[in-house]
Amino acid sequence: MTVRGHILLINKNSSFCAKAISVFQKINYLVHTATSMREALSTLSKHPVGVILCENELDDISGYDFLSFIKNDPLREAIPVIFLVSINNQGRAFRAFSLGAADYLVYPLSSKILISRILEVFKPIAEEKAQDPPEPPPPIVAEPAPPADSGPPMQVLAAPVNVDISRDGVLWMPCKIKAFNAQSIAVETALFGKKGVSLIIRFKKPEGIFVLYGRIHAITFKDFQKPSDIDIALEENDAWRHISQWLQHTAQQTAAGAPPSPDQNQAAGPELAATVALPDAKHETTGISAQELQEKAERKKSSYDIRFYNSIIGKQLDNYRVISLIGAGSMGGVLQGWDVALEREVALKIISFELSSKEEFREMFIKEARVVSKLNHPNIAMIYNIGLSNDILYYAMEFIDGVTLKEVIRAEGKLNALKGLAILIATCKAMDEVYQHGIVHRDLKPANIMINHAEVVKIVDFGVAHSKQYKPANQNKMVGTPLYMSPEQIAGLTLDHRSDMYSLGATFYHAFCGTPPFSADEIKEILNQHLNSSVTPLTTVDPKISPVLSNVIEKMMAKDPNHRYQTFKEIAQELTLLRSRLISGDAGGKAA
Amino acid sequence: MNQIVLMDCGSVVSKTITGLLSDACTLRNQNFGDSFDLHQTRMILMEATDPIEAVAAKVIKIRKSCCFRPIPIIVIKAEDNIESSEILLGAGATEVLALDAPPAACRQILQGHLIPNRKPLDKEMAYLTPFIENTITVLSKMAFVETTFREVFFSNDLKIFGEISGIIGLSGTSEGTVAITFYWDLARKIIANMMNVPMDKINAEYIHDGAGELINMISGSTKKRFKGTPFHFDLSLPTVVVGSGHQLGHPEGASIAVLIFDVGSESFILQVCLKPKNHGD
Ligand SMILES: Nc1ncnc2c1ncn2[C@@H]1O[C@H](COP(=O)(O)OP(=O)(O)OP(=O)(O)O)[C@@H](O)[C@H]1O
Ligand SMILES: [Mg+2]
Repeated sequence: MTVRGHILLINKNSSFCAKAISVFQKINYLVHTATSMREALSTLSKHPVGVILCENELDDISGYDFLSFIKNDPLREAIPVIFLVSINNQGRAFRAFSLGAADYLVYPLSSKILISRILEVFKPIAEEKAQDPPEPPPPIVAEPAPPADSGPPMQVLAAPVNVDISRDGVLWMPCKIKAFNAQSIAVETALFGKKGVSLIIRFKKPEGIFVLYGRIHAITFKDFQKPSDIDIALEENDAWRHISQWLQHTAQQTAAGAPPSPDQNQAAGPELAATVALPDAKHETTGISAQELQEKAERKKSSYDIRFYNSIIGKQLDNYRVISLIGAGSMGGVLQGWDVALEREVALKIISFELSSKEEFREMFIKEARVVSKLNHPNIAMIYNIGLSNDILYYAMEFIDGVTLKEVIRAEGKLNALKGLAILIATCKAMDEVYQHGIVHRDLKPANIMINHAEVVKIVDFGVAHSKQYKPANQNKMVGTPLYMSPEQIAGLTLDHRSDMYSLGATFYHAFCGTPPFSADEIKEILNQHLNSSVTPLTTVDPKISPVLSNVIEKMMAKDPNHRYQTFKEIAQELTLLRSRLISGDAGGKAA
Repeated sequence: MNQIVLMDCGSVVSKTITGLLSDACTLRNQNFGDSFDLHQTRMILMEATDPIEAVAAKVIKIRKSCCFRPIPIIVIKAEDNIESSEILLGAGATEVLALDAPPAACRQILQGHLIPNRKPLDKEMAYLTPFIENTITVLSKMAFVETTFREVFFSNDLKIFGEISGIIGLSGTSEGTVAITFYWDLARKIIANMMNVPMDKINAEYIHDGAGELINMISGSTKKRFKGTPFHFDLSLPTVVVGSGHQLGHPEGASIAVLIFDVGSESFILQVCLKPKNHGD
């Protein structure tokens, strides 16, 4: 007898089961019985079941739960489930249908009806699929002649291409494409599957994101320590045509001896991305190489710092739970935290090991923080608390959900006049308050001016500013950035608010022009230019910039502090006037 | 007091570490293979004296014998080398430090790792308890395995060292992921029971289906308990991941509750990362 199909009958009534078995046996269907989900699953994994007949109650779970389990299982959702319930315990048909039942039958009922209703939904499944899985096939890539049914031979890529792979489009795993042909790709990934399972592959390319859909054709794995090799048969669509051409191209290039094209998909590790956001080539303007250089130096130096910041992620310092690393600078790292007592988000500035291991620094840092914590201004990030926990020196400040001016410049190239003016005016007003308290920031720069989602400007990093006096022993390591330093700061003179004014001028020079006031390959050279060269007027760099604005910034950046504005208030007033003129359409000096 | 095990450490390393940490911890020298007290040990420092592959093999063994406890394993090497560090971190090391690293940096990094992992607050236990109870129920009902819940801690580390995981994405009023992670031996035992097949018949396909089903059942049964609460979620498809030191795709920056369960002398973990959508603002 050839078996025409397998039926799974989940029923506790043994006489009913016996009857059903014999009814179906006559028409060459094999009935497997079960009373619990466990037995049912075991049967499903052994036999190509074409229909499930299920009661209201299983031994271990309700029939509805079992149904919903099956319908949520991607490998089994296609198997029709018929509720077959006793007349004495009918349950709720509507519920079963809403969960995906194919039919709802009440027994006793005639064999004829039983057979016809069941065969109506019966879904034959290829025997091959459900046989006990054969020995894993040999690895695809190592195999010169792939199995006949996997299409033309695989072309092996010299350098694997990194992509993301997913079952559900929600969770993505890294995946390496090692070979390909016209219909399929061979990948290595920690994602595990079995023949027939559908997968989604995501390519991030400069021209866009491409999503491919495919099914596992073969899977090979040697042990559970290693990722498996999967051969994926792909659905024919535009994305695959595009990617397949691109793979072809890549393979030919590497075969011709050209270096493999840079991997578009290699995402930087989270810490790297947080520390050094690589300049976006599209917005690259002239002469930024010094900044690049500095970013490189920062990256190198930060290796130990980053490890230190990472070591406290997930831990708790006093009342603050440390969530994740936001970024790191020369003085320390900024981590996102959660105040468990007050239940609010905070930013935690953790002082770098280099500085916090110096006793004098610690004392001064604490003293400064006390002063700065008295500043209470909507445009200045508040300091909440300063602490020393487990030998780790830190302060907690207002968490700013937004971006730094540095990121804005990077994204937009340069700021438009109105937006830039609004930020600059707000900053000047806040700096005036700072000046009233006799505090000097000392490190005003795009990275220390943030804009939150409500477009409110927030100046950060007060109070740690004094630490600039602590130059690391190794002079090759840069403290702070030379791009915005005032001449008197470079010369090591006593600083007042006018030094901040210079740095603010340099910062907004960069913001409006899209390039910093001075740039060179050597840091030394930049410092020298701050001391001795005059800046190129903003209007020369970009004729669209208002001459009034150009003059204000140049005056802020006068070499001699006495030639600058003497208060931030004056600047705010002058710029407010300019801004209202720009808004009312009277360009003022703009066209002059 | 914190106890630090110095494993295979020569006199130079022992002396350096004593200089850095003896005020905060007690140090104990021992050789690889000697047993150590899991309950007392706060950190394991090992000097890499063998070739890198042999050191990595040792790290894998130590990591496994920690039974998912978050004990930092620090490997000390003669010099910094990114490639070999990657191998060791992949094997289960928490950090790899070079002997020539600045001592102040080492002290801070070690101190950071010595801070114990955070324990859940009462209100966090409220959403973890249903997961704990359902894990125990599902394993006993489906696999006839007696499971006891041992401990829970929070981690932000995406790397959990096990050999096979079933993971499922949650979406809805709450978002996140739930994952179950085993070492291969225990996975095989549980899945053999569950599928009602002998252990030696357990192959890749059974493991795949079993791990997916376990996580599906645990999250599915827990889902019901959250109906009408801010923790309500819907389930996506289960994903199964293999390989030691595999990373799971938890949402970035999220805190993950790691629940450790014991089955006899073996352990497995359930990682729960669940966050109501409009929480914290
Ligand atoms: N209060 C805050 N809230 C949220 N994010 C912040 C806060 N302060 C700083 N950040 C973020 O953290 C990053 C790192 O800041 P950090 O001050 O360590 O470095 P930096 O400003 O680039 O350099 P420096 O150390 O010289 O100030 C910033 O670029 C910013 O994105
Ligand atoms: Mg800063």
